[in-house]
Amino acid sequence: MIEVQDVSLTYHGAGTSALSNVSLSVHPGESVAIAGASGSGKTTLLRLLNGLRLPSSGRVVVDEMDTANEKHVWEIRRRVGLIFQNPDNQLVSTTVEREIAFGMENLGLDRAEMRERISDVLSRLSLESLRDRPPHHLSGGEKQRVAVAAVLAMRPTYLLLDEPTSLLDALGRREVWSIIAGLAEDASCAVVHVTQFPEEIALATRVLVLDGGKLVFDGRPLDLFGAASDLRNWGLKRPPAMAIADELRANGITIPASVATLDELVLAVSRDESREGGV
Amino acid sequence: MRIVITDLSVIYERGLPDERAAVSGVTLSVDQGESVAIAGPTGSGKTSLLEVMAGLVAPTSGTAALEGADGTLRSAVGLVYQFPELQFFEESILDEVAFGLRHQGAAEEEIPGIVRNALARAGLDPGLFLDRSPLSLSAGEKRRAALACMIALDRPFLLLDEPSAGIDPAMRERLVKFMLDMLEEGCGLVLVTHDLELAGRVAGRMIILSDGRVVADATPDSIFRDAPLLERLSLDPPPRYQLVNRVKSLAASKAPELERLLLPSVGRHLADVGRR
Repeated sequence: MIEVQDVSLTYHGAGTSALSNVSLSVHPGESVAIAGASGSGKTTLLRLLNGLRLPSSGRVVVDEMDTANEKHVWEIRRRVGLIFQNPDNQLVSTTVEREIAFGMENLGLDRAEMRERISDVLSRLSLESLRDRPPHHLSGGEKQRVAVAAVLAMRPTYLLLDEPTSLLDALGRREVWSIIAGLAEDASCAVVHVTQFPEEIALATRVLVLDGGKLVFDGRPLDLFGAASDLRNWGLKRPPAMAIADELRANGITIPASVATLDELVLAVSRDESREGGV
Repeated sequence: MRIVITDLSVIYERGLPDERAAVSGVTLSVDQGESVAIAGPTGSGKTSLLEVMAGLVAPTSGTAALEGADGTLRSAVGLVYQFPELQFFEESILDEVAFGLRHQGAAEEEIPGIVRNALARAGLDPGLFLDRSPLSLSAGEKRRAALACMIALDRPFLLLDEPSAGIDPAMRERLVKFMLDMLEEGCGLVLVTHDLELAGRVAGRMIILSDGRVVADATPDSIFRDAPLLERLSLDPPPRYQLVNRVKSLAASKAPELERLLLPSVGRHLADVGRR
């Protein structure tokens, strides 16, 4: 479990705090979205969770290890993987394969194990054809998939992603999402991701909303999207599927209230030809 | 004034083991006052094409030129990069936005006014941001600061690489309004994006690249209705088109009413749908 206990953080030279009195905990098996307007503290919160940033006050505790205690740094980094917003910030090697091996070498894994994990993540992220290419020659979206692969190969207990799909095309986004969903489902890993996409918030099991550095919502995505006036104040929007569903309801088409994603909406309108009020 | 690209190819690392073609045989032109979205899978050559249009990457073969005016592509085009932090190096936002202006020879006493105006148009309050270090900004703020740098230069063409990546929904609405305003003022707009919803709202024309080649050049509406093309390239059209396209294949009898309710009738500009 990662525990954030009454954490505040003020950046050097900044007048206001980036985070104020935030408390929460994250457990393996959860898929947590962090949402909020630009500058609300999302990236700051993410970086506190693996000790990359330390709180000005309060504590962050990863599996009973305080991130402020230097002797825990390596163990915490092993358990908590972080993928940056801009993949160029973390790609350092000469080939995709070496890039993926880099983190594992630091963990001291043996070569057979490393080879197996490399093949595994290359195929899961459809990167086999890029295996021998230099990461810095890849496109923005391909780099992002390499960054995800390199961190996944380290098999972290907690995976932190800062807008992992913002540069990906639809296919890349679906790939990254199915991996995130699969990781959270097997209950041995927690996934925490910052996102701007309402439809990605809808896919998470839990959503945290930050507004001006304060945690203003911690609950289920459907409950968040039900609170229309708060959403606007926090700079968020409902998923497009929910807005389209409302538009269809206004035209007399019956759509269940639980519909939040496009997949659910497609099913809802395609089902049951004969039902009254159906399309 | 127009940007004219003729039979363009861009090959990186030519003659080396990892030689690869980013752009192959592309011919297109963009007029001032026109808004063009370039989409396609990652690695399809979008950013390379944009860099050629900005005069930053030289064609390996073919030509890229400015027609209808004196000057070079570089002097007529402003490019906002995908990763704005790569272009920042000054100590304050003021100096950062002023950098290009000074380089262009703007009078020093005019600079603060131009910078303030550019920041405000990009959605950053000059009062709060002028003295901040560009590196202290959040990702979304950096993106707006990078946009301000180009607004300040007041070029006839504005090229944007993934302008909506990492910005929140409220800022996205402002970005759309900004782009429509720029168009009305006669600026030529080219955006590279995976965000086809955004493309549908601001672009009158859409170019789809695949493996460095143009595979479609049409209105966003007609491309969004072309389910086989989108499927083949793994592109997701805006949600309402996605819904209609998928229902068409799942429950064809229900599609016509959905189409009537959700999609623009032929001939109506998509931007109207976005504004509704």
